[in-house]
Amino acid sequence: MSNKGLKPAIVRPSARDSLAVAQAVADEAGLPPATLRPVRPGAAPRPEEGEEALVQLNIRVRRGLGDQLADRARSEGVTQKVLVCQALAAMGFEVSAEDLRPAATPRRRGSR
Amino acid sequence: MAATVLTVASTKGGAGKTTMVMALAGTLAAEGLRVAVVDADPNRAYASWSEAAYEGAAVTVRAEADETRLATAIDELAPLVDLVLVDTAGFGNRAALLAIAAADAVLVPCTPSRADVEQAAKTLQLVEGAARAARRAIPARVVPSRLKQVTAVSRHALAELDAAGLPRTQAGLGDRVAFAEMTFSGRVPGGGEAGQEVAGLVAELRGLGWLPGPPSR
Ligand SMILES: Nc1ncnc2c1ncn2[C@@H]1O[C@H](COP(=O)(O)OP(=O)(O)OP(=O)(O)O)[C@@H](O)[C@H]1O
Ligand SMILES: [Mg+2]
Repeated sequence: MSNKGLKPAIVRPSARDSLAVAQAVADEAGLPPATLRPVRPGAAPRPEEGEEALVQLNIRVRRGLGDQLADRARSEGVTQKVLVCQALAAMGFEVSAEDLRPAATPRRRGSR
Repeated sequence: MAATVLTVASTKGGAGKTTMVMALAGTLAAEGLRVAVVDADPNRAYASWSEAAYEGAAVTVRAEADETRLATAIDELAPLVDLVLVDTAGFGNRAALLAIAAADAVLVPCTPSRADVEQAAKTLQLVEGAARAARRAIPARVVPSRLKQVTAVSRHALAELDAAGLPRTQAGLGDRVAFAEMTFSGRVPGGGEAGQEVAGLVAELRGLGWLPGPPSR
């Protein structure tokens, strides 16, 4: 046997105990289940579809949130719009794959 | 004797969780420890890397993003190995919480950015919540990640962590090409400055009792 590490004082919690704990904390914190995680851009969550009409969406938020969005977008190399769309997808909205793409999609002029 | 379960979590995406799991798992498996990684991220970043790129000592890998199956996977693996490392999604989902609730200790990687420091604090709060609900201590530390050793930003971030009273390890992983390359080459840095940083982190975590000791020969 190779395990000489200092063992934690308590016995390992059972799967059931851990699940109950996670449930309690998740409910308190309002966390989504894992399965609602949006699929990353590139994994093509939806089949290719015909070009849909675009609408403009401008939102005003507190500076703190704006800063967080900017920081996160920079660190993940995506646009803030993509982050917002990921969050919406996680809430169960149907989000087009185009709106989850990391880079701005080049205008497909003349196509179709 | 059951394995130590060490969960790497941060509600912040891109903080360096998967990189830390890759480096720790590869390094400890190379020592001869029996290591399992449970990939709890639905994006399966670790699992696909281990299938497609990893070159090193054997690591048992399970990918389970559903919290019930994740709990079972950790339970099943713990008696079979020395260490179970759990990589989580940078999203603060229930699977991540389960991984925290099932952990002996939690590592919270944190890069030197304001958003990261804030999110690290949030992650530690989730760990505290889980510990309260579980009525046991779940020790957690922030681990500095992607530190640019000499920059004012890094010093500032460390100072912010300390000022916020967030417990952190002294050892951390620098922002190094060797870590970024690992994701392509599949080779975990064994030497050089990157390797030394991983060794330093391993030593500190052993000092905390959060990792099993090296195998006896
Ligand atoms: N110490 C480091 N040095 C250099 N590059 C790093 C380091 N840590 C992470 N990276 C790079 O930063 C990016 C994000 O890292 P990583 O995937 O480990 O983060 P994560 O926390 O697992 O992200 P997610 O929340 O999406 O799962 C990757 O491209 C990785 O190669
Ligand atoms: Mg990851």
